[in-house]
Amino acid sequence: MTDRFFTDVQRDALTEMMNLGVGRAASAFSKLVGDEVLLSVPEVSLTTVSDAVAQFTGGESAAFAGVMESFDGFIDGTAALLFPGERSLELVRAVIGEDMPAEEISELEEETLAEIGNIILNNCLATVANALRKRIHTSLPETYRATGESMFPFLADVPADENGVPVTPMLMLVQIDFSLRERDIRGFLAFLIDLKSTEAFRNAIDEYLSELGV
Amino acid sequence: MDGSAAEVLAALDSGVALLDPAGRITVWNPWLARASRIAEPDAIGRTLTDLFADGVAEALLEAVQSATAYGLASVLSQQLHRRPLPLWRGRGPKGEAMEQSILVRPLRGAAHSSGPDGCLIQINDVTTAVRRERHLRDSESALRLRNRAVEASSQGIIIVDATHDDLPILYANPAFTAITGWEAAEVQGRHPRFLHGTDVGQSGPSDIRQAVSESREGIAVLRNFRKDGTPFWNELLVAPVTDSKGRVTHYVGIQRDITARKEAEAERDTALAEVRAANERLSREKTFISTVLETVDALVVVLDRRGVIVSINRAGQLVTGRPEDALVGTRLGDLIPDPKASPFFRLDQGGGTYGALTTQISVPGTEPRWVRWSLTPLSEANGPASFLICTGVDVTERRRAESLLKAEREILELVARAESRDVILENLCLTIEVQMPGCRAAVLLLDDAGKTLHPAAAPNVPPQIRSLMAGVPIGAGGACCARAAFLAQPVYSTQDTPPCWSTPVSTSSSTVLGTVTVLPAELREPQPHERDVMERAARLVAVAVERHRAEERVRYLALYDPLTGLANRTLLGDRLDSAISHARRHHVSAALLFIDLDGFKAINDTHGHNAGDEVLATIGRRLSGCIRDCDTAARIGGDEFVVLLSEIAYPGDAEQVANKVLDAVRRPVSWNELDLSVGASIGIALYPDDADTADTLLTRADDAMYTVKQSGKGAVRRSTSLVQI
Repeated sequence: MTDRFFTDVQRDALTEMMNLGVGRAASAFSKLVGDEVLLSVPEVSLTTVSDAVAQFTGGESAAFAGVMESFDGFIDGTAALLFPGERSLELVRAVIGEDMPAEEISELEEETLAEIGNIILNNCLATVANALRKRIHTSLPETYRATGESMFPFLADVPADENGVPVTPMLMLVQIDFSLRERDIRGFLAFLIDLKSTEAFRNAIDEYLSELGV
Repeated sequence: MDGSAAEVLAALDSGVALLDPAGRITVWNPWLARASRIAEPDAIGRTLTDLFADGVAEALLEAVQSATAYGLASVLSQQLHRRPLPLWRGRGPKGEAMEQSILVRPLRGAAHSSGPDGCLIQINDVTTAVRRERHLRDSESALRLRNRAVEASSQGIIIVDATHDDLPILYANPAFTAITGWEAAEVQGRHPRFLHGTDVGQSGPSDIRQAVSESREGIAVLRNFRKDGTPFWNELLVAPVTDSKGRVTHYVGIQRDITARKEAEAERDTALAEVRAANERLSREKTFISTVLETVDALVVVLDRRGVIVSINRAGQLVTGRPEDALVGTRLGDLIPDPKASPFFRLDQGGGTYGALTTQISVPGTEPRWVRWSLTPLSEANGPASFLICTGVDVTERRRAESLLKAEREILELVARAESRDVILENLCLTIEVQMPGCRAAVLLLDDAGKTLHPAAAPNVPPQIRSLMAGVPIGAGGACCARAAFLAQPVYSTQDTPPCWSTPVSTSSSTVLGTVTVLPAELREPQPHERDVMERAARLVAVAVERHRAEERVRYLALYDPLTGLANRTLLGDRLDSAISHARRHHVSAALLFIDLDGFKAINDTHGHNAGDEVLATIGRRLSGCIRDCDTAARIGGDEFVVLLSEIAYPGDAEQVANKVLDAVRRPVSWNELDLSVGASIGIALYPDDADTADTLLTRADDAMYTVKQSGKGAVRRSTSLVQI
């Protein structure tokens, strides 16, 4: 089924690349924490910011915390790891092996969260770039906190067209499940791709697919 | 690098290194040189591996690789990597290992170039932050632990502000809510006393106030009220909390709902008190009943259906002469000599319905007792009677007393009927033997001289013993009866052979007449009732003997002259008749001497009646001395005497006696140093020669005496012939 951004084939290729990237991130994690970390991607969806906002604000948890970094290269945009409520802190504690109830995130924990996001996002972006034989640069990760409504606009300045109508960028939402040290934590990866990069992205995927003979 | 850039790098409080796409160091700022102890000149142009070998973390090398090869920026967080490079804080050769957080950033050569980039490594010293966080975390976790303890405690905990007069509650834990029903939000800001409700004036709060004023913990049990108004017992501990300057800032109140405990205690106390009271009541009643049972004189015996003794009281044990343990388990019927009585004491044989009866009870070693029984069947819970309560009264003494009384009455009747003394005394002995089974009784009487005892009655005493009793001289050292008579008190000897008990028989004027002597079957002391029997018998003997003596006296007075002791006219008449009958039967002679004193009236007139009486008494004795036992001397008038000679061989014998009498009369009689002299005129009449009837014999003798008087007195004359002296 073709959505407004990608064909099914394109989306399948993208999903495959995301799975690959997340897989690499999981292995990097496992190495880092000396314990098995399982990451899985049950769902990849492509949507618009406004649709996503509507989806998230309708949910139970309005507050989100996470890590974001911007990228540029063959596509520009912002990548983010999102957790509802205090799950981000819970994830940090799970990674460093501390068993404490979530309360407030400390300075060092925030840094750790940044690294966790960095690893996942870098792996995903690098995998995509690698697959598409393109080059991409990432910025240093930053932690952030936002409520549902301001979440995505916060990630990127949503531009307006000549007529002042907001141009809705493409949003690739990847649901991601962490399973480590007997804990299961669900989060999202959000790739906000500038509208002007969309075409380049689509072309790159097509190139990739044609090379694979699809 | 221009000068200002170098200055910036030198001034930075973090390590900065630049690496070219091949990983070679191009910039090594002074911070990094200081922390790594590697001078900038030594670092430039070399890779991190060159500088630190294994000391560099693989993650850092990978990050450098990611940055240079793919243009990816990386963070190496302190928590996940700790010290990716061997860096040191402070100066000196070693210093403290540095906790690091590292940022690796790609440095783009040309925009959108696809060639490798250089990268910038920025190292921040987060040692202090780590330390701070660790400390924070430690205290936080300690606090959290404490909080959790407070929250999880099953004891209600409140914290109040001690700096405020109203002691407002700042905190209340969930257990407080569970106990009191008050939510923390509802009680915050309130004085804790609201828990007391209307129950003011408890001493607990002041105890606690006293304690906390001395900066120590106070504990008290208070009656508090829940939100729903129900009371509960609150064991409250209040501890003051002081700040670093020793000022009390808070009070922590720890409450425990001990209502259940209190109630359980109260219930237990009540139950205990009830049990105790019941026990006391029971024990009082039991003690009372058992005291009554043990002290009453009545026998109380409880029998089961088969008549077996279940319990017997002290009186029962005394009467039967057996201890309880010898009685319990045996049949009461076995103690009763009469076999016909046994079924009355057995419920299983229809007993217990007669109410009352009197039976004997055998007593070992002594005679049976008489018991009058009341029988009451006892049933439990309306079932068939399972026990027979036998209440008995020992009527032995009463029966004895009754029978003794009856015997006494019989004896007294004998006395009243003037039965002969010996018959009465024999009856008395038999009565004694009935009253004292197994014993033999005798009555011993003193002789006239009061010196020796003689058996007056001893119907069942063996002859050889009876002969031992004859003529026993009384005295303090003699036989039992001799002592009793001598001492005028009972002697119960167990040393004599045979054993012997004696009770003196005394007149109303305390003169000892003799003894009642009992020979028991075995060597023992008499029982009280036996002593009683003997004493009563002794009194009866005294009555019988005295009565006998009084009769003897009456008879004597009727037949004898009290002054001279000679027969009177009546007795003389009897004797004369007897003598005539005898003489007639045996064809022998009898003689009658009629004696009239001469000169007696003169003595009476001159010296008085006393002198006359003395003369008469003396002459009476002299007359008695002149005749044989078979003869009779009698005084028949003032100075007239008659002597009956019941059998004479020759008529001259009478004259011989008359002359002897004449001489005896003539002998002077001493009276108050005077010699008084009388004479006698004596007339003799012979049977059958002079007369053949008593009256004529007397008349003839009187006539003969009168003839003597007429012819000068002082002579003897036979009625047919006059004998001149």
